[in-house]
Amino acid sequence: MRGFSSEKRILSLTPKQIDELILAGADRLLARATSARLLTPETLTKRLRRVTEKYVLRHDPAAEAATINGFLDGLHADELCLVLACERGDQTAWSELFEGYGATVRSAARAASSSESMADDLAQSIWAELHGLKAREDGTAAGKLAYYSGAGSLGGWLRAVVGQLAIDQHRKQAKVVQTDEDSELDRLVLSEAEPDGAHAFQSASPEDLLAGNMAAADVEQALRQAMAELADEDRLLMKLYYFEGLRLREAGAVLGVHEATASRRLTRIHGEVRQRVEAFLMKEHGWTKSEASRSLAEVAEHLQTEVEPMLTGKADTTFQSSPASG
Amino acid sequence: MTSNDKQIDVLMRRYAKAAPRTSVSGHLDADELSAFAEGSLPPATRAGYVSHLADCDECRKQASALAISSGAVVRTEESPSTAVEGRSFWQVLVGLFALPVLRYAAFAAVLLIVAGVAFVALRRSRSDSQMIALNEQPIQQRESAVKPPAEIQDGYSGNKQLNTDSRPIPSPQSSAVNDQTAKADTDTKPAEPPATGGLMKEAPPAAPVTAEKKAAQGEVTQTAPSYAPAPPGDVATQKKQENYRELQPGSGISGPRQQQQKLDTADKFGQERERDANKDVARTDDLASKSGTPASVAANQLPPSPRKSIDEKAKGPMRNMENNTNAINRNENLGRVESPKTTSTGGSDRAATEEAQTRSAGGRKFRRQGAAWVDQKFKSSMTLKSVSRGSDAFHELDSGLRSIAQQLGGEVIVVWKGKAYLIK
Repeated sequence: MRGFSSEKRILSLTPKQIDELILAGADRLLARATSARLLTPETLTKRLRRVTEKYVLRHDPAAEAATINGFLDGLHADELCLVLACERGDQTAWSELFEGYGATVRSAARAASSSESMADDLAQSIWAELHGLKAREDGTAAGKLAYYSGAGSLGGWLRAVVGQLAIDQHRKQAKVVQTDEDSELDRLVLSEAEPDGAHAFQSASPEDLLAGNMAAADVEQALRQAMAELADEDRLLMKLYYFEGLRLREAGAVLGVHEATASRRLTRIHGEVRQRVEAFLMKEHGWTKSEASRSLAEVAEHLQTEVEPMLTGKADTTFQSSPASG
Repeated sequence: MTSNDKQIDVLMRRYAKAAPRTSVSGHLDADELSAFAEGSLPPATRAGYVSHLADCDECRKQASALAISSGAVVRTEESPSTAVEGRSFWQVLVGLFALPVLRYAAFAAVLLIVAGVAFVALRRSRSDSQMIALNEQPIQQRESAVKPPAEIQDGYSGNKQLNTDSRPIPSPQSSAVNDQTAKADTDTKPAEPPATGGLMKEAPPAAPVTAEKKAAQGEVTQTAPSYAPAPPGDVATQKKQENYRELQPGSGISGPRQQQQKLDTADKFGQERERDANKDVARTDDLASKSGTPASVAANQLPPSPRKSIDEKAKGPMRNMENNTNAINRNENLGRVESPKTTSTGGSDRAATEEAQTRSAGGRKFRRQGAAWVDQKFKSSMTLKSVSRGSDAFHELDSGLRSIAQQLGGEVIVVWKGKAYLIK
């Protein structure tokens, strides 16, 4: 990940020890693979060293040998060997890759494209990207296969590659053709440029502004602060559930938990958010807890009446209730 | 979802709709996204990615799409079962006694208790009904047992009761009766006493009795004291009947009838019992009218029957019903046929004197008249030729005639070849 800052590492293992662990891990990986594809442990160490650095040592510089060994033993041995063989120019491996994962690539391209022809173009470009049109200094093709670590499945990685390539192509098209029909990504960029979220509670009419702009600002600010104070896991769950519109079962799947666990966790987060919002209102306006609770209830009740027009896609409404009126 | 949760839910939905999309500078690459979506990252690495995904809408979209498409939903659906399997024994044990489980266990316990009480109650009622059914048999026996005094007078139930008991109970009175019977039998049928003795020995093996039958007999034996007392005049007769009952093990009418009663269903039980009682009464009346002999006399004529009943017993337990039916018929016949013979057993002496006055020799019958034996073929119109023993004329007589004269002794009148001889 490019965005993580590199900190000074406190290594518990020496580089030599890490190399030994990686070499032993390469031996075990080849032993686990159904076919070694003429690969040797030495040819694997370079890739494994890079992968270990990326997924283990960067996030946990003091990782122990057990952590490193556990990670190496969890790699997809067969798929990593297949990719390494493809990188070496093994045509048999390429054939296997194409036959084994052609359907996955087509499916992912179809899902990321708006038309069948675009999906075909995307799939073709994926194979070209995987093979690499340019050559590196050592003569090998500079394809995207070099970024496969084996941490996830090869199919999942291919789907992710197709998705990212589709976004890149969309962005390129958006830059070339500046039309009014901006894509969602373009709107996303625009939203980043705005200073804060106050615009979200803009009223549809001047009357609404006069009636509830203060409450809207207060509640919005309180919610933003409460969300920011949540733990990362809780915040991600709230974003997946409310922002991405996933079901609890799907949100739980992203987090690796069962639907019931996600449901319990969401209930707990509701309580935490409520407490934080009430605390914010009490602090900002000097209200008592009952006043803050009553104000929150009135705002929510007012919004509840507006749920139906909101769901039917009518004009956006905003908070109109005022704590003063309660 | 509580009302408070609902309020926050509404607020959050509106906030999510209006909130600005955020993105951070760096994004996760395809390998990181797929590894996160498949949950194959070390915990520390995953925590860093979670923090990024919570703030980066673009990466979150991709990660969620990958997670859903990679089947993570299915994996997490199956995870609870694997989580349960992975728990230690102690955790499982603690989980069994956790409050959320115990509240269901309480209901289950209540259900079990109710089911147990219902089972015990139903079982008791069933066993009570069985006891009622079992107790009715002794009552039935008592009912049938009350009859003997009346039947004894008719000379029929004695035969029936003879067949019920198998164990001989020695008593002076019974031995006396047995002696008398043996004596009478010796006179008429000398071979019978050994047969009677053999009966006593052979009875247990020759009469295999089922457990039910034994139980029925035991019940009869136990209920015997509850019999209604016999009329004073019939005490001796009853004792005689008891002796004959001892002499005839296993062969009885009441035994099979008990067996039949046990086989009867509950609804037919009363009807059968009533029908049997009517049959008994009718049979007894019939026999009484046919035989017309006192019970005591009939009882004295019974010794031949034990051997017959034993012979039939030897046929096997499967024929008990038939045997007993035959025994009833035979006893009836005995009562009828043999009763004239036994009308004067007091007169067995009379029969003996009768036999003493008539003798047979050389195929001829002679009657005692005075001091001489007279051939029954002799007629007064015949002329007698007097011959003295030892005379020449005597020796000239046919050897057959001489043999008759020597057998009878004294004066003998013999009709020989149409002539009458007076041999002195």
